[in-house]
Amino acid sequence: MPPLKERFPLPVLRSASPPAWRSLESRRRQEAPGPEEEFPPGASRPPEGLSRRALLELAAFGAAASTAGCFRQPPEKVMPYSRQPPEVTPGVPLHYATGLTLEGHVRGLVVRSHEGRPTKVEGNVAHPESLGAAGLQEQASLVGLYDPHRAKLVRHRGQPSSREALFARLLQLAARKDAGEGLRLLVDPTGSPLWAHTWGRILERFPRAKVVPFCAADTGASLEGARIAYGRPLTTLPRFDTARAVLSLDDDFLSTLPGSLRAAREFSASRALPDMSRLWVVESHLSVTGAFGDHRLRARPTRVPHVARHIGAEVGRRLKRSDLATLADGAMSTTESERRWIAAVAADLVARKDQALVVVGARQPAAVHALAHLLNDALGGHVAKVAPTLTPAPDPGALPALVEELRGGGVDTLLITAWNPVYRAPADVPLALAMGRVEDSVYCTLHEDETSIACTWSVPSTHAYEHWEDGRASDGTATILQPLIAPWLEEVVAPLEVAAAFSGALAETSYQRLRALWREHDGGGGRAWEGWLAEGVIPGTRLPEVAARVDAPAVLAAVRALPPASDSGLEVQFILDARVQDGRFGANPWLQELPDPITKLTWDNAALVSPATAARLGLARGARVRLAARDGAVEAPVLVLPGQADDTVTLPLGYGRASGGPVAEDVGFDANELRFQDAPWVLPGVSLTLLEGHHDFALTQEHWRMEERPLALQTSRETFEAHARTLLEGLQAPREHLYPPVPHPVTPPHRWGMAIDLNRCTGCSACVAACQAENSIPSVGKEQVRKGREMHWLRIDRYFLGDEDDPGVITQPVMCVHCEYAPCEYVCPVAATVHSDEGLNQMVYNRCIGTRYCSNNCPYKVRRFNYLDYTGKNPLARMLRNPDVSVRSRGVMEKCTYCVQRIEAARIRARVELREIRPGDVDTACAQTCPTRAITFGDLDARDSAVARLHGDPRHYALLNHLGTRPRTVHLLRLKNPSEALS
Amino acid sequence: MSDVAPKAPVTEDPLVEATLLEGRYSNDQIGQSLLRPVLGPPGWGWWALVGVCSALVVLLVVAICVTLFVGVGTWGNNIPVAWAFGIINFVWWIGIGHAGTLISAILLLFGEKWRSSVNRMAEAMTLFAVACAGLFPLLHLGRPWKFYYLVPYPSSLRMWPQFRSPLTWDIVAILTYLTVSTLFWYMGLLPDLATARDTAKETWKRRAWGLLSLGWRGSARHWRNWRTGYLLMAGLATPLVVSVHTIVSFDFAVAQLPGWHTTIFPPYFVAGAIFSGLAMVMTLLLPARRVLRLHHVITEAHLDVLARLLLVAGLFVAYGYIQEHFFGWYGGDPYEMHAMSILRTGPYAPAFWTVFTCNVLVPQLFWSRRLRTSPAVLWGAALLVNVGMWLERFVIVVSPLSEDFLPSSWRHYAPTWVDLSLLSGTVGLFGLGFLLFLKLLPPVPISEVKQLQDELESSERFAREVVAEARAPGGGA
Repeated sequence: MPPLKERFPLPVLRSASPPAWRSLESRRRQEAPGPEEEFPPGASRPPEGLSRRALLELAAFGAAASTAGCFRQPPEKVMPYSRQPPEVTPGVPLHYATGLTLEGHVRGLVVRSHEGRPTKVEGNVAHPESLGAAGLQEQASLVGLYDPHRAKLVRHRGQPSSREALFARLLQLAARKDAGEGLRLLVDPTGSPLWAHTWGRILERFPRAKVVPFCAADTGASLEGARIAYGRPLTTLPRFDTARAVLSLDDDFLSTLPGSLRAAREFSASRALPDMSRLWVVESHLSVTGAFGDHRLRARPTRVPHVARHIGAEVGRRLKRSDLATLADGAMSTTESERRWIAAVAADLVARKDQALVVVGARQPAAVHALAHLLNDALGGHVAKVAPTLTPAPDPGALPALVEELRGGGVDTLLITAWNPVYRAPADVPLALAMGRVEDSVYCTLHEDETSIACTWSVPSTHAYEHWEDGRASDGTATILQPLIAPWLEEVVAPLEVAAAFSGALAETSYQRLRALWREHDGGGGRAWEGWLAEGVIPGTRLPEVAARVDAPAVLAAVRALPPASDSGLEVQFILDARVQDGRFGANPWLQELPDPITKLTWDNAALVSPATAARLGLARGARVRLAARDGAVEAPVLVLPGQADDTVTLPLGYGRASGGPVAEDVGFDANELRFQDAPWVLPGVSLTLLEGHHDFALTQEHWRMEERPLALQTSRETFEAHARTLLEGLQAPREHLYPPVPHPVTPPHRWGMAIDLNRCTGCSACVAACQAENSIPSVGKEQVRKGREMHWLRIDRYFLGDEDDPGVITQPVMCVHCEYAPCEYVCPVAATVHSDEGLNQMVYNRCIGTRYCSNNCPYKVRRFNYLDYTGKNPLARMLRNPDVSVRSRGVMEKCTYCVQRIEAARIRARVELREIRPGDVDTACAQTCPTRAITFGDLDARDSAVARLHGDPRHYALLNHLGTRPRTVHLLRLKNPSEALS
Repeated sequence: MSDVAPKAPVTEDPLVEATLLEGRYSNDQIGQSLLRPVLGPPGWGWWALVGVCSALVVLLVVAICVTLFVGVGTWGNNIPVAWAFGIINFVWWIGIGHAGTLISAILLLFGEKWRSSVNRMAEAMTLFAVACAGLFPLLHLGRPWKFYYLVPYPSSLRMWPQFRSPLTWDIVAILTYLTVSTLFWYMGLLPDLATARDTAKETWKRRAWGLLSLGWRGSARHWRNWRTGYLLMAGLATPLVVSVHTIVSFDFAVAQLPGWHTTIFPPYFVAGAIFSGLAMVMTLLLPARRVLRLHHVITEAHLDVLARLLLVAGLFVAYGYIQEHFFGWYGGDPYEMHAMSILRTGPYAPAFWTVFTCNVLVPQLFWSRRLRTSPAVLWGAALLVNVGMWLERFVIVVSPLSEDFLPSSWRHYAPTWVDLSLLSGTVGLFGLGFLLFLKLLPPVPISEVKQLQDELESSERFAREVVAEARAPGGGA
């Protein structure tokens, strides 16, 4: 039997017994490493492929060894489970319901845990924000938990301090007599009742203190819009499942947190025949939603509100509403093609009255949100309205006001639980400078970042999976967020504990506070509690819908007051990066390496410009430019992106970090330097200068055209309905083959297969992250991606169709298609890739010697090769690995296995229960997490098998069918639903 | 009647009139002149070249260590271009080896007399080339320490290699080729090793050569047996000239990649191999001839015939290029057409057009007899063909891989310093081997030259007698 520590690494030991054997404080005090010495020399260098990896390993080793001796056997005698906890069977994972708070709202999750070690995140079917799916950030969240670069020490003015010193000081500060005159809290708005309660208690104790919301992603326009329209702030929840004509005004609802999973599920379901929805998108940059839309109007950012006005007027004319019809008076003039587009969308919305929906993105001004409320009201309103859940309410003016107070010197205590406000603050809000005047600024953080440096106290925070909290989904459904593991770092403090020092609740643990808070709701004296934890949602907490009447004159007045569009010069638009968001996931190497759904860029952000603008300004991919406006400027590399509005530069936020760990630092540029508090999203009148030098992007897809090959296919709904039988002829029929069918001694018990519905795939890339998590796929670093050695088994091909300026976009997930006649198998000289009788094309890692011939002969190029030792020896990375999946060494080929470990687990379960594997017993990681259910996996021979049905669907086709490989994974044709008015 | 008499038509057999041996010598003179480079002390030029080559070998060792200890990821390979320098160099070196076997085996069977003076050097070149080639398939593996999985041996895992894979065939073909080439070369050496043994002054040299010459005493029975054995070996080696590169070409032709999957590859590869091998023979022979003063045994006639061979092989290769592109177009498969069009116009087009220039245009010089016998022109052309043939393999391997079926996976390739070090390192290893060969073994087979002279003399004698008889009154009627 292997030694205890190998079978049950740290968490079980730590949670089972108090850390009696370990006291490193004394040692740490002797050695007292400064922030520089903590990592080996050079560890703060930018991530550059091989060297970065080596440094990550070194740093991780150093960190793990210096912090806790976590991975050492204790000197005292420890016992294995002599009495095994009833719920733990070694080797059999447990699943715990919890959640992750993104943009203030919780996404319900189920986390798989092997012997106390969380290894995989899944969506929680019972949770309304997840519906069983999970997005990129959730899938990659465990990397953040085991991140070797997490903040480890309490620091006071940069010097290592201790928890005791921190809390002694906090209690001193809390014993103040000024009623909180000098106390300020800078927080991220959240729906968490416990946080709201804690802040409430603090404000009770210190009535003159203030809780200041930090708004980066949501600048409050949506609530303000509701306030204009309904007279009070309300949260709106669009219902995509019943809508059949959807107009998105710069709203990337398919990928914007927190509601994207639900929106994607509902909307993709509405794309099914015969009653297929139609999506109209007005936007400036090419978003996931825009790429999925049926009609897309490119408009400069400042023109979008005016297009909305014209659409409103057109709808008003068709609805015979005189007040609306005059809305376009005074709006910017439109071109002929725009007029046709606007008339078509208005006609469609009116024709689908009661099934129409208008949604507006967070970047748009409040008046446009108000207009959407008015239009939804006029068109039958597929929007639920609930009371806002976020506390404190987003208010973009709060931060500048705080900075004024800080500069005035009236604040002596600043408690920051918002993520990295110094980095995220607009260029004209000198937060870091103002913080210098505060005697005690306390910052709870996962990483020592820009804000840590500006603070007097930097407090290492527990990860979301290490502490108790609660939270709400955007519809109000509450979830208790259980911890999954005891903190593996010695010094970490839950942010709630720091706040509790001021609320006077330090005597209780977070758990006790949480129980106390929810006791009221838990009528039966705590018996329901365990049910909530197990289920992941608290029943009956969904907020009731609010009835509200739209105040049309107020809305129209607000819309008329919109500033005119800027007609000349470049406009800059800021977007949240699809992966690192506003930067808070920047330290996560999986997300850094995940290709952006649209640009396919990794480890970077770029100034996105349209081909026409690039040609006009003489820019090419990789050219370096300087963008300047007012007194801000950024230097950025250019990526020419078809589909971008002309004369618009889109800058993704979240990069260019100066501090925050070796993964986050020195990647990309910081667009915040051009972001001003009165122009958080759109900045007209920007000057562009071409600089010397060239930037080498790490793109995973360099060629953007399909070269007229039948690969990712789409057609219009009408064409399909007219020619359903003949359309895909030649792409479906099995080909004659030289080799005879593989004889099997017995009929195989199962015939595994997969179907990928392009009509549902939005390209969001959650499946890529899920595959990486499930199959322990390493991230390889920027340099290796540049060389074309990314390891993702599943990739999403993105092709542009048609006109380069205004292209169609199609995304196509491609992983090993498990050919029945696999070209890789016959060329392997050592039989390392062979076929199973159930149809899996298997890789035998132990047998592989790495000739790479299989990859050469794979027409789908889905095989990935370990050119270097990518798995590494990092003990923390080992924590993250799925114990059911082999670790691949250097020099070995790997690829999608159809999650064979899950098939085998299901087989074992079925055998134990003396039954066959049933449909639904097995799901691959990608299929499981897909928000739109675009991927279906199962047994082609089983009765009632969804995948078999899809294999018989007239829309199915085999990729590269002419090669006769007979893939077990088929793709399903994407349908577009264009309007007759524009065809 | 015209007053200008018509010229006699040129019907000469190019080889009958050729002077394969300048002057006539005694057997001792021949032995002395050909053993001089072996017995004398090395000159400064030899040392300088050995120094350069050794430096390159050190580089090779460094690059091999980096490859083994860090991984094949230190090369420029990626996905989709999973094969690059390793395979290119392998095919190039294997091809170079072919001319040696061609000259020593096929020409022996055909009874070509001119081969005697050049076959030793060509064979030695073959060995060193095959040794260099043999390095690459091993280094290019992801896990080179598991290379023996490729070899069919009865293992306790009860696993055999997968015999449908051309790489398995490759192993067999190359090992056979290496064995037969070595034996053939060694067999040809036997009489000369004995001569060296008899001439050597130092005891240790006598002992060493004595051991290697297997007790050769030059008896008539030795000669007879040796002749038979040598011919039999030639018979064995001859099919290898065709088979080895045919099988190497299967590595590509059997794959279904557009640009690789074509039936022209086997003959085209064999022609290319012979072409590159001849070029390499000339690259080595011409300087050796000059420095070692071998003009009397390697005459202009030899240069002429080598140049003709180069021209013929070049025409075969050109035909291969034309056919490849013609069928790419004629087949009408869009994937194949794309693979061919990017050869001509894609990112590697400069390499392709260099290939075309070096391998198709340059050999056309040798339609001229004057250029065929000019050592400088020959040497320059040979160097260009070497470059051209290396680049040919580059475009064949890299170009189809970098743009295949799914445009989403297209990606181009650039070598790293390790790649370049391995290539130049094997050039150094090859050069070092050849320099040592020139120093340690007689570069021209002494016995064969003696035999050649004997044959030439007897045929001249015979000719004289025939002429004399014919001139005698009443003779020949």
